[in-house]
Amino acid sequence: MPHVLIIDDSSTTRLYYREILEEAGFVVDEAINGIEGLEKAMNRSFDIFLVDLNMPKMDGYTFLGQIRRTVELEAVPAIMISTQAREADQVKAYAAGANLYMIKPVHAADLTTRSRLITGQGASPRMAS
Amino acid sequence: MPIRTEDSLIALDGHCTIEEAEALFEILRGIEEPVFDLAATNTLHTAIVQLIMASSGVVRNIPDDPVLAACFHNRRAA
Amino acid sequence: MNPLLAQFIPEARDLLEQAGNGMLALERDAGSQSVINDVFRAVHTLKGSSGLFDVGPLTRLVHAAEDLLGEVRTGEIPLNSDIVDRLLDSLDLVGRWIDALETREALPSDAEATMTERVKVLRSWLAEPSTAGLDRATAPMTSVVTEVPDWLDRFPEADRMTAFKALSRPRLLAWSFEPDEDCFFRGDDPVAMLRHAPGILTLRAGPRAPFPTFDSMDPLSCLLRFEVLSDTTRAELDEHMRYVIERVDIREIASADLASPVGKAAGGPVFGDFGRLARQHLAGGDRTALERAVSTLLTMIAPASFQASALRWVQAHLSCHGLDRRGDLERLIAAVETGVLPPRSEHPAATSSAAEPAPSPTEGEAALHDTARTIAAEQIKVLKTPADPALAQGRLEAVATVLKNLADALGDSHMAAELPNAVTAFRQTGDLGPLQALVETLGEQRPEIPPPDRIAPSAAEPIPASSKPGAAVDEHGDVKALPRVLRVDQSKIDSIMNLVAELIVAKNGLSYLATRAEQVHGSRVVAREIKDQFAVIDRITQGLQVGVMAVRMMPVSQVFQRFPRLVRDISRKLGKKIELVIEGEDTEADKNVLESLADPLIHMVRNSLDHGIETPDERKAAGKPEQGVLKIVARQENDFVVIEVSDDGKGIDPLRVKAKALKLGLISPERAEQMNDGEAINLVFDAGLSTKEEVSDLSGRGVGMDVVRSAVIKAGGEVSLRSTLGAGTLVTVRLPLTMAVTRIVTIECRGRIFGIPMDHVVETVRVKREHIHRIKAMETFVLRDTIIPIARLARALRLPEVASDAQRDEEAVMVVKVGRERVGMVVDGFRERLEVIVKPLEGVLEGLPGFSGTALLGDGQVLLVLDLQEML
Repeated sequence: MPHVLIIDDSSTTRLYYREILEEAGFVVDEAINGIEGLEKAMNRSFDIFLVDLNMPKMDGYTFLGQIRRTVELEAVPAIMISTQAREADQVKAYAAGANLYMIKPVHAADLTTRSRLITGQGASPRMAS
Repeated sequence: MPIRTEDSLIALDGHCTIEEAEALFEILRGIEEPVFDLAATNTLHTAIVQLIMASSGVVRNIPDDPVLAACFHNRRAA
Repeated sequence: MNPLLAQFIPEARDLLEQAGNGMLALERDAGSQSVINDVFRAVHTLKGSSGLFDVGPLTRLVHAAEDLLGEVRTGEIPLNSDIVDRLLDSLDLVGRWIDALETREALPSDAEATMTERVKVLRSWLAEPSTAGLDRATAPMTSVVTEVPDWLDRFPEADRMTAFKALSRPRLLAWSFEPDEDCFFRGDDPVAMLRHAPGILTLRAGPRAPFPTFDSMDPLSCLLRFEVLSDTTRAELDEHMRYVIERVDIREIASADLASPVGKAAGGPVFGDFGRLARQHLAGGDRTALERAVSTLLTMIAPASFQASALRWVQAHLSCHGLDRRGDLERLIAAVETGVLPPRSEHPAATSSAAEPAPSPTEGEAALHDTARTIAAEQIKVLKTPADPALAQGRLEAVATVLKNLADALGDSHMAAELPNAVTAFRQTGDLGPLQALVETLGEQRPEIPPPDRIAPSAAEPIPASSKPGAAVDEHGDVKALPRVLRVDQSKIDSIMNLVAELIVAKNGLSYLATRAEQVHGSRVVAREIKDQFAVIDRITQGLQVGVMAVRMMPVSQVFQRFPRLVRDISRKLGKKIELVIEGEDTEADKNVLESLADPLIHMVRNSLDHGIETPDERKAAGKPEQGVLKIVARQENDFVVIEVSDDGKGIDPLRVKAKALKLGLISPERAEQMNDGEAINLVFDAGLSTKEEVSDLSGRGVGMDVVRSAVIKAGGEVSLRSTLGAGTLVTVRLPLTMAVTRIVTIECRGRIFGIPMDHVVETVRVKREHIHRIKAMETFVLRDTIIPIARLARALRLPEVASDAQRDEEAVMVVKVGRERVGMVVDGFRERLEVIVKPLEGVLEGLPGFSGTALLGDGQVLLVLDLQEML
């Protein structure tokens, strides 16, 4: 089963993603900011990161920049999810190393489909049945 | 002159802009049950639309436009 | 309580407390950046997570607080105790709403009204209230968890059904719009705005609260509310409503949500029988029998009953989707059977999947392919976004992972196999072409490729001895020479380009040297020889420049190729008949120039489609052929590439544009008087005018022409527009073929030298003092019967006045063209013309207003190049 690391300072948001993604067959781990995210990312392997932008201590851009500079983590896909919806925010996310930019609040179906596709899986088990 | 009145009949012609709103308001204050005729109407500013909606009148010859149709749906003259 | 809400309540309290404490600390020490950052982040996080619930007023209030804090954080607005009070008040109110959420799982009923008033206060500190709308970041967070708005059922069944049948996709937007009371004063016209909203299916309009008695009404205060169903994307709607986005509440719903039966439920065994029968037909895939069962039952029961309504929805479903989307169909059948519509559980975090309608395999798969292709296209966008070299390698690896995974997910073995080569090509040469081409094939059905031995000449056939690399054998065995192509990394070309640019600058140094030889060393002979040499080097550099440019040239077809599809899709959507004519697609221009042209061109084409060309009915009524013609023509004119986009649509009415500009205070009455029709219609490029939605219906040209203009100007080009009312519109864009070398004129002002791009210069004249007249506050002079306003460069640049200014009896005036206007710029003196490489302002100069860049002169001096557009 694919492993996802959710990095967001809001516990509500983390719970929301967790429920959606567990439903879609992911194993979920959480971190409350970029620093904790890096620590977790170093200690076990993930198939995808979901990263918030604004977080205390270390924000999403910095987190992405760090993983893309680290050989063991550089190839792990990452989706940045933020409330900021300007073109410039997306450009900044892509410059920092995100593979996709989504705007909060995200639709459950959108998040599931994208996360599954990005981790190499077809339609969700529910859809395929 | 976009607003023509004849007794309780009010015809709105061409483009009725926000500038006409106060004039129309004054006219409507003096009429019990106005009948609006939009046969020669080109565009109506929201302020004009709102006055018609708030009045007790009916509207005939509503232009073929979904927004106006929605605004006047219960004001359609028989 | 829903576990998500249970999680949210304590988190929200925690964040409110953090923000509140921070605010108090700020009042003691307003300068503490770390405290203000913490407060801002707490409020920001609260906004983000509240967006997951149906608590629009709360989100919007927190949002307004966030915006205000944002301005405080950047120092735009100084913090005072008044602001602190109001923010604390608002946080307290949010706290009470959280309490209400905990006890009743809903906001108090007066929340909307209270919010509106508080938001107004908070926004009153923000410098420009409208900027909130411009910034997409501030779009209100609408609920996605409980998606279906409660007003949806208020649409009559017939309207919902019409919308259901007209839908082009499985989802639609249900949105409400409450223009603010003062919107008329800002020139807004909500009805016009709605008329042009994308993809309207149906709408309802009415007062927000019952109208006051007529006599006590304020005719200039907007009290309306609109509820709309649209077949469009969130992005398009956001774009259309962006200036009033805070007054809009947008929900994305499923088409099945429209199918909500209404009426009073009837009773009787007949419904149970129907349910059993219907499910049998459904299981057997017998659509005809199911349709028959439905219409039979319909004739038997009261049309106003709930079940009759449900049956009509079954009919609608069958006629649109047949037996597909079975989950929705089963749900409606259950509604007939039980008299209650089972919930359509699309709660994102919902765990029950029983009621989830399973999309038919083909439909689900098509959507999945689309999403995969979108993600793949984003990967190309990622790679096109410049990145810090230290992480670019890692990012490429991540992109490769994503693309590989997408290929696996869709079972695209071709892409999976080809991917490593394309990635390597990009890594080694920076050429994105192969990767991009590959990505475009993602998930495509490929015909079986015959094994190689069937297309290659079989071993039995003789291979001509002359066959060698670079030659191909045609079917008769003749050898044809192929053009030999060298693939070169673009960065190599760019570095040669830079060297050529430096050579041009160095070459200019020779003319300084010649002047010095003559003036300082008194040697006219040496000066002459230097000048001769200069001419030789000049010729060679020009040749070199032309050669390098030619390598970078691309045909405009690269940009044009997307238009046939775009025009087809949009015209279908708008119900218009449009023939697209493209000419001159072989015209070539520099790669960078073409890239800068792509977006403005799309804007222009969209404008023609949306506003220019009329519907077939309108065209018939105007005595034109039903099919409109949109023409895109490219050609080269000297050093420019000219692109024309023209249509034979309704054209622009200059009088109305002028009247509108006058009303908005964009031009003075005097100016309006002087303006001819051509000048008037070009007002649509004015930001103030072209962003007003209302104008699009007046002028046939709407939102975005100012964007087109600024993009074109940035690329060193110009854009103009001609239009004949009723006959059509022509927009012409002229762009330099290349962007590298700029010809400038240098001028002197207060002992300093500045550059002006030659394209702006009309002529230089000397004007006697007595010929300068004052009209109101403005100095003017007459040049060949035209009144030209005067601007003094020293004043525009805030350079000190000097005493000699007043004594000069004639002024050196450089007449420049800014947009379509001519302005006389008073300078101290004219200097030589040069070819330079203009570099953007960097370092300490970055952001310096009034200048577009710097250029290095032959004698090592740095020249500032004026940005006339901005300065005058």
